Amino acid sequence: MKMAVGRIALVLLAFITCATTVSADDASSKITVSHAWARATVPSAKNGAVFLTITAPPGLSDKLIAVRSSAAEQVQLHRNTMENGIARMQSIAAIELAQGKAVKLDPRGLHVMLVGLKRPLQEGDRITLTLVFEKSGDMSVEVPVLAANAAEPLSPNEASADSPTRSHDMHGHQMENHMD
Amino acid sequence: MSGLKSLLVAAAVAIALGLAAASWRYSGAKQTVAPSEPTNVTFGGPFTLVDHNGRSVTSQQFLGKYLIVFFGYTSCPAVCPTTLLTMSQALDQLGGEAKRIQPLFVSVDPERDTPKVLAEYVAQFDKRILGLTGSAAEVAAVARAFHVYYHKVPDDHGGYDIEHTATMYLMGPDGKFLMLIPPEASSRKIAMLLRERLNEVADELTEQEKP
Repeated sequence: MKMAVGRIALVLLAFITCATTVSADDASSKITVSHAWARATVPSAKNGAVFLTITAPPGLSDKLIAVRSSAAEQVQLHRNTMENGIARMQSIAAIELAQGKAVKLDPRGLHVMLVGLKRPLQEGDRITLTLVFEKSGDMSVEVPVLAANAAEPLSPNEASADSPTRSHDMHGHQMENHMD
Repeated sequence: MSGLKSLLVAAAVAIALGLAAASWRYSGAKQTVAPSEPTNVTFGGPFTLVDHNGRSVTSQQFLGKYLIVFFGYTSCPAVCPTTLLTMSQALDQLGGEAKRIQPLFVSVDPERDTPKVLAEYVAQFDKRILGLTGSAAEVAAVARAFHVYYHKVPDDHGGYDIEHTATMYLMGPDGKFLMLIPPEASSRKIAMLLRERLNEVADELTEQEKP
């Protein structure tokens, strides 16, 4: 229960802190970044991942071509792949941003990989990333480091994860049983 | 006329190639779906490892409990924390039934994952999950028994990541393999699969008790 409360608090914290990372000026015609967060790493870890959502405005398609950060020796764009149950990471050159669409970097798909961390990511830290877009240029984003067990701030309840119909059915049956 | 004929031949070849490609892709897709289905392959077997408290453990000690065995490492940036979190949520959803299950998180990175590192890491997710590590040979042996693939991928800065099988294995109280749980499964899905299994066995026992 304590852990659940902690998680909810973290999620709220993520929302609050992420709001400050969104580009302040004229959001309607510019790329916006939201829900930026990283997970704390164990002391022996040399790499860490950052997740965020990037939205290109209507009328502008762009491309994320690089990320820089003083927190690590190198920053890469990665894609997780899962094939025959085997989790792999693949370095990718760029992330396409279609106009008016949000691209979500999350633990199950794309992420920004900090390679060669200068120091482990600790809960409560804030790290700065510079996102480099092909057309829009550089954009600075501040990323809060959440607990190692933090879930995605966007979908803490797995709203779209799978088979909601099935679980609704089950609830339905349980209710019928009660009424009997 | 011959122009039309060669066009037809070309179209037929294109369709055949398309079908071949489609069926090849289908068989690939089928393989990834397969883990939730029962298979004839046996997973698991006796193992000796070290738990996150530094104690030597063998598979024998866990007899009588359902085991969920999954592999990963504490420096894993994206997949393992998600799996651990999902597992913890699934156990919460099972309520009291979760007591019948012992989740085991086996490190495929014994070099960095000492019992102490594992203890601190696992505790952040769920105290019910037991972290296991061991010598390189012990980890290799348990991975072999579960048909788990793991492979170190070095980076340019002295570190490395490990690509690895992220499938979860459900073992029965007799130590025998019951079911694969696909790594993409949500906590709800995992809880549902586990509940089905736990109930199935409970039903069988009730049947046996009848005169």
